[in-house]
Amino acid sequence: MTLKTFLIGMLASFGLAWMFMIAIPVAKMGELPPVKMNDEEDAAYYQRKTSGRILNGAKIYASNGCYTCHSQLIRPTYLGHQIWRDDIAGVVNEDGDTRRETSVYDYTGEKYAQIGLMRMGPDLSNFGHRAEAYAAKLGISAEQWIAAHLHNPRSNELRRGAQGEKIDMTWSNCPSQPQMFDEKEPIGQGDSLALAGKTASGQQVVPGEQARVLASYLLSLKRDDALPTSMDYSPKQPQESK
Amino acid sequence: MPTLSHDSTTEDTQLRSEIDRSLRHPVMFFFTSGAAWLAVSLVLGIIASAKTHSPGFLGECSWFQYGRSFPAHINALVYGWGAQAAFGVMIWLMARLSRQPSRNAGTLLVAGHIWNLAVTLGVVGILLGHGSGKHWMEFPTFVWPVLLAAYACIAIWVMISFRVRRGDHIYISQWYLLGATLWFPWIYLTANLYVNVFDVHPLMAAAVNGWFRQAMVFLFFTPVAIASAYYITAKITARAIYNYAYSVGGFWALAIIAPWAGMHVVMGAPIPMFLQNTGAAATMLAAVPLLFAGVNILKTTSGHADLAAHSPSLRFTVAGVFGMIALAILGVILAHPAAARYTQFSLAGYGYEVLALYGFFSMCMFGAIYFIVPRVTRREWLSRRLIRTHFWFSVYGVLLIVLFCTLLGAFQQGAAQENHVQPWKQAVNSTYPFAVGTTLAWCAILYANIFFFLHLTLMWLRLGRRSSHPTLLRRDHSALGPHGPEGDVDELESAGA
Repeated sequence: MTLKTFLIGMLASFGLAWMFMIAIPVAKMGELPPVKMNDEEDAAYYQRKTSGRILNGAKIYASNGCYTCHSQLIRPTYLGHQIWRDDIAGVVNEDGDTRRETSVYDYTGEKYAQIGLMRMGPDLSNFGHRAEAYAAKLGISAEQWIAAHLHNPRSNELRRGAQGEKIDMTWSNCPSQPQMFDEKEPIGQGDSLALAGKTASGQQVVPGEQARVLASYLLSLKRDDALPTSMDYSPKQPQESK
Repeated sequence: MPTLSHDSTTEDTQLRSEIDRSLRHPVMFFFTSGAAWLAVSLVLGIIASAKTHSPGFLGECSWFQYGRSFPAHINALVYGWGAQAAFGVMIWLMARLSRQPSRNAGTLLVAGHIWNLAVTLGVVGILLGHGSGKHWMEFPTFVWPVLLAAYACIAIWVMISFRVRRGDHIYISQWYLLGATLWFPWIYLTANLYVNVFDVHPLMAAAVNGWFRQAMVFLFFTPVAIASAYYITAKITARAIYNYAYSVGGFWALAIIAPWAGMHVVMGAPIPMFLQNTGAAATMLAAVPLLFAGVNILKTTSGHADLAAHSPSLRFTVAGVFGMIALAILGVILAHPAAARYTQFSLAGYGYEVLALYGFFSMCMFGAIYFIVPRVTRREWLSRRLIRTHFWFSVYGVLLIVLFCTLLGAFQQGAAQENHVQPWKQAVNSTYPFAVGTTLAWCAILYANIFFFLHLTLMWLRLGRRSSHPTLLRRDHSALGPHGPEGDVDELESAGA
C-alpha cells in the first residue's frame, strides 16, 4: 500500500460517510418545507409559537449542565413508555389530551437541541405545564415556583399532593443553584420573585438575572401544541383529538 | 518485525537512542502533563459521581456542582489526558518506526504548552459556568480553534517523520497512526463548524455532536491504541505480527465502518430515521475491526503468558486489548435499537465512554508509556510495586465502573424509567447503590494514578534506576532479577558508542 492509495482510501471511506451522514442531512434539515395542519385546501400552515427568553435561558441551561441529568425528548412509543408517564409528554385533563412525541419544530428558537445525556431527573419537554400546576397548588406564580426550586430542589415546601399534603422531595439529587441568587434589602413590597422567608439579617433572597432567564426558558418548555395531522403520532384516541 | 533487539547492530542501537534523545522532552512533557490531567479529571470524576448520590457533598459551591464537574471531568479526560497521551505515543512511535530522529522538539514543546494552556482555560471555563453544553465539546467556544492550531503543529511533524522515513517496509502501526493523524482534524473541524459556527437545525447539531463523540473514540483513540498495541506486542514477544493481511484488513474495515457510527445517541429524535439506524448499525458493526485487531494482537502474544505477566508494557497492553474486545461487545449490546429504550438515557453511555477511554485506550497508553519512558530517559522504572498497584487498581476500578454503569445500573435504571406507573423517585433510587459503587471505583483509579503520576515525574527528572535491567514484575530477588547488579551499563555504552 502506497501513501497515495492510502490517502485515496481515507478520502473515499471517510468522505462518503461525511457526505451522507453530515453534509447532506444537515443541508436538507436546514430547509424544511412548511406543513399544512391537515389535508384541506385552505388549511393553515403549522407554526410553532414560543415565548420567553429562550436563547438566553438555553445558554444558562447549557452552561450549568442541566442537560447532563434532564432530557428534552419524548421518544416514539417503540422506544419506551415515557409518553404515558404522568405530565411528561403533555397534559391530560377534562379539556382533552395533548400528549405527543417531540416534533422537529419543538426546538424552534434554540441553537442546539438539548436532548440530554441521562435521565437522572425527569424529562423537561413539558416542564412549563408542570411548573404551572405545582405553583397553582401553592398559590404562587410559576416563575416564583421555578426560582424556589432552583434555589433548593430538595425543599419539602414546594410540592403538594391531591389533598394538599406535602410531598417529600428530600431524595432528589438535583443540584441547587445558590450562585444565581442575590441577597437584597427588601424595598417596599419587595421583589415579586423573592423567595419565601428572610435571611437571619432580614435580607430577601432574590433571583438574579441568570435565574430569571432560566426560569423564563423553563417555563417556555411546553411541547404539546397541536401538530399537523401528517406529523402527529400521539397515542391519544382519534375522537379525543381536536 | 525485522528490527529485533536481539540481532540489532551497533548502528541500529545508536540510531534508536538518537531518536529517543531527540524526542525526550516533548514525549515526557506530553506524558507527564497528560498524567497530571488524568489525576485532575479523576478528582473531578469523583466529585461528580459523589454528587449523584450525595448532592450535598462539598456544600453548595457552584464550581463543583454536578452540571459543571461532570463535563469538566470528561473534557479533562478526553483533551487533557487522552489526546496528550496519544500525541506522545504518536510522535515517538512514528519517529521510531520511520527510523528518523526528530529535529523539531522545540515546536512540539511549544505546541504542547499551548494545548495545555487551552485545556486549562477550557476546564476552568466549564467550572466557572461558561461551558457550551455540548457533550465532549463543553469548553467555551474560543478554545477549539486554539486546540486545532496546536494540534496542527504536532500532527505536521508526525506526517513529516513519516515522509522522511528510511527503509521500504511500512508497519501496520504507521498506517493506524497516519489514519488517526488525518481523521482527528477532519472530525474535530466538522463537529465544531457544524455545532458552533454554522446555523444548522438544532436537532442536527445534537446529532453531529453524537457522531463526533463516537468518531473520536473509533477514529482517534482506537487507532492510536491499536497502533501502540501492535508495536508493543511485536516488540516484547520479539515476533512478527500474527497476520499482516488481517491487520491491514482490520484497518480498512475500521476506516469504512466507523465514520457512519454515532448518531444512534439521538435515537427517537425527529431526524431522518436512516441517520439513527445507520449510526446504530455502524456502532455495532465496528465490533468487526476491533475484534480483527484484538484477535490478531492476542494471537501474536499467544504462548507468552510469562511475558505478559512480567513485562509491565505487555501486561497493560494485553489488558487494554481485552478492554477493546469488551468495547466491541458492549457496543453491540448498547447500540442495538432494542436496548435503546433502557440504555439511551441511563448511565450506560457514560459507562461506555469510560470503558473506551480508560479500559481500552488508557490501558494501551500505559503500556506504551511503560515501554517508552525508560528508553527516552535512559533510566529504568523505580518500583515494581508502584507499577503493580497501578495495574490492579486500574483494572478492578474500570471493571467495576463498566459493570455498574453499563450493565447493572443502566438496565436497572432504564427499567425503572420505563415503569411509567411508578413515581420517578423509584428510578432515582434504583441507581443509588451503583452511583456509590462508581464513586468508590473512581477512588481506586485515582489512587492508582496519583502514584503513576509521581512515578512518571521522577522518571522525567531522571531519578530512575541507572541499570541495564528493565523493571519486570517478577517476585524473585536473584542476581539475574530486575534488581540484579546495578550499574551504569546503559544500552549505548555497552554497545561501545
